Amino acid sequence: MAEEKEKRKDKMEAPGTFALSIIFLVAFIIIWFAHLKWLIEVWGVK
Amino acid sequence: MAIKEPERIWWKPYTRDERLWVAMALLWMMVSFVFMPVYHFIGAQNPPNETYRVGDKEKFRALVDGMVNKYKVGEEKGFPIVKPEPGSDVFVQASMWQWYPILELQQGKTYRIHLSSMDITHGFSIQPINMNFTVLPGYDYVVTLTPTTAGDYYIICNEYCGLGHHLMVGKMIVKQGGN
Amino acid sequence: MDYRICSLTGFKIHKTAEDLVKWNMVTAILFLTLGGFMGLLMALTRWPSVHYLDATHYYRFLTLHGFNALLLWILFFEIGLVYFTSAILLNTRVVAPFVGWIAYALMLVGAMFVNIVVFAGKADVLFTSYVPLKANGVYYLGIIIFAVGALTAFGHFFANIIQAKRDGAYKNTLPLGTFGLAAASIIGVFTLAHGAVIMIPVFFWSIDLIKYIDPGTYRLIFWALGHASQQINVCAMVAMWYMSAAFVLGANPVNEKLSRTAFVLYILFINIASEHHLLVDPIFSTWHKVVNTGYMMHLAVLASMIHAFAIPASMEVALRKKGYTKGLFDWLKNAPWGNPAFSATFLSIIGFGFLGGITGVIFGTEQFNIIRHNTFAITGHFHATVVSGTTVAFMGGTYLLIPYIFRREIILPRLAAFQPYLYAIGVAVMLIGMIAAGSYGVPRRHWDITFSSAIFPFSFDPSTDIFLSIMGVGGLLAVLGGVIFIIVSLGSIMFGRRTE
Repeated sequence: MAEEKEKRKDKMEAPGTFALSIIFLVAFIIIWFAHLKWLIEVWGVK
Repeated sequence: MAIKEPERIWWKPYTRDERLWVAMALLWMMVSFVFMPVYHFIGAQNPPNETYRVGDKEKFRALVDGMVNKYKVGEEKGFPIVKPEPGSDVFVQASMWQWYPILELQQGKTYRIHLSSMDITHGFSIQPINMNFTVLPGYDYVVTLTPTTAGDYYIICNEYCGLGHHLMVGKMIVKQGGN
Repeated sequence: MDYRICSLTGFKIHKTAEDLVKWNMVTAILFLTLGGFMGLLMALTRWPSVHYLDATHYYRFLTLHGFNALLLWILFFEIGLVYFTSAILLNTRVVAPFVGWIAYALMLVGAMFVNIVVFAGKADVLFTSYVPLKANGVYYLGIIIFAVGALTAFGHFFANIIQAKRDGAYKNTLPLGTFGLAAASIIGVFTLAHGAVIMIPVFFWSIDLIKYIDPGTYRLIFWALGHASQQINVCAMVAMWYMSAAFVLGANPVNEKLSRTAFVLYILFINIASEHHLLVDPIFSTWHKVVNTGYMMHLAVLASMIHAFAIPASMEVALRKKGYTKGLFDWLKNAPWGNPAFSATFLSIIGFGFLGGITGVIFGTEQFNIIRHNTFAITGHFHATVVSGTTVAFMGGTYLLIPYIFRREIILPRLAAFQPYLYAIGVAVMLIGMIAAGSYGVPRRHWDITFSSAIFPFSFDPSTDIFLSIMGVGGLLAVLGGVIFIIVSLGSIMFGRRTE
């Protein structure tokens, strides 16, 4: 049982989904920084 | 299966991809969260949070009229054009369906713009620079604004305020610095 | 007790549970038809070269579009899922069946009140009805009656699972699908409680018994209802994802611990995060906004990111077990793309995550909200979550449940297989047009962005015209997909071949 647990710990069960998730995160970060660029272009406000 | 009761022991250890993904997602969420307070110290564009209650709308109207009398420099289509001193308190009144008065500001100077509504909720949306703030009746929202580009700007209403909502357009002129 | 054994799934199905699922689902689809038709009129009006409706009818039908498509279609479907998960999935009965019927009747009566009073032109206040904009009292009364009905149904969920435990229908833990609906029901209860806190005083205000409702307070509590009710949708949608993966692929959640933790994160944090509607409002201090939208919202978003990983992962594991093990994406290539219950689920995950999730976090960030608040980009964002996310998932759920619950085969199977793609792509094109136009400042809820009769002439960047036309074309595609969905689903329910 403990051995099986140990085995599960180091496994990549869903590498394809993991790759898709990385694509998602990269898209997220790019769009986020695009908004930062647009924000800096507007007038100062506080 | 998601449609059956799981086996008795369902708290299995996380696999490598699960641990990595949760760690990366959490890290990115932390970045996005920490950005907000940090940008208040390092950034120039932050949502204003100075606000006052307006007990009597007529008092706010009187402040608007006082400013118009003091700083009026012209008129366009029946609306006074007001050129307040940089750094001063500027009052803008929203009502169905107009923004009053027209402001003439200097590029690079800072103004304390007080926004309040005489009737229902309106949206103060400066175009085409695209900056948006909510205007509520009974509240004075102080937007400390520093226009950094010169030109003619328009204030549209972006909160539904009845049938004439799409007619509600005001004007703001930003003149280049050094008079 | 009146039970049958489902020949397809082996579930022991209680007659009343089945009837409640049927009635709530069919009612949901009928309200989707009405809301979708209003959506068509919206797209045709905001498409600059068409500009179909006049101003009065635009705002009136916009009110109806929001109410029918956002509230009625989705909530009736969710109540269907309440009975599906709390009785049928547990092979047990609905306790006190009359409570289910009372809840249904209250929701229906409330829905009719609101629809009638808005159609009559007495409540052109849009979905948010921000005070002091005032509607006829019947409008608020209808919402209150509807909310009481929904609250009764969510309460019924808990009665059912408690009785199921007593009956020994499950020993220790609920199935994950039921667990998800339990999260939805918990959020439902406190959401609708917020609704009562604000809508009851507003009702008295509308009939002049209360003098003044503070507009800032209204906005705060309204969004605790308005946004938190979207979290009912998120939970139900995610539960639907898990259930579809299980029914279609026999997929096991890769890790029940992770998935259940994520549902708990929703319950704890998402409701408190509704202040992101008020980021550029007066009243709240910076620190209030930062803690509320920052800390709370991000933990809830983390939960979504966990589900959006865990569900495709469970599909991947199930498909790999079937032998599609080559490379990274062999399983994806060989997934049952022709099964609308599967394709809708997958499209919903992609649409909700990539389009709705990313825009939601960014627009909900305090500073970015300055350049996005109340623009058309916001409309784009919530169409991504609610339409390309929840609605598409529930369309898949409909295809899934028709054989099990209505015991009918899907008619026009090739059209049904094609429908989720047409609808999801149409919606995606539409909302990308909205987001693009909104990033240039085009406001939401606006009849005439050319300001042709306004006192000062202002016009947006000419490219917004193209984006709004893209929105119109996408809207038409989506409407076509919606029409096919309604024909196929209602047609199957009425005329499909009986399965047993």
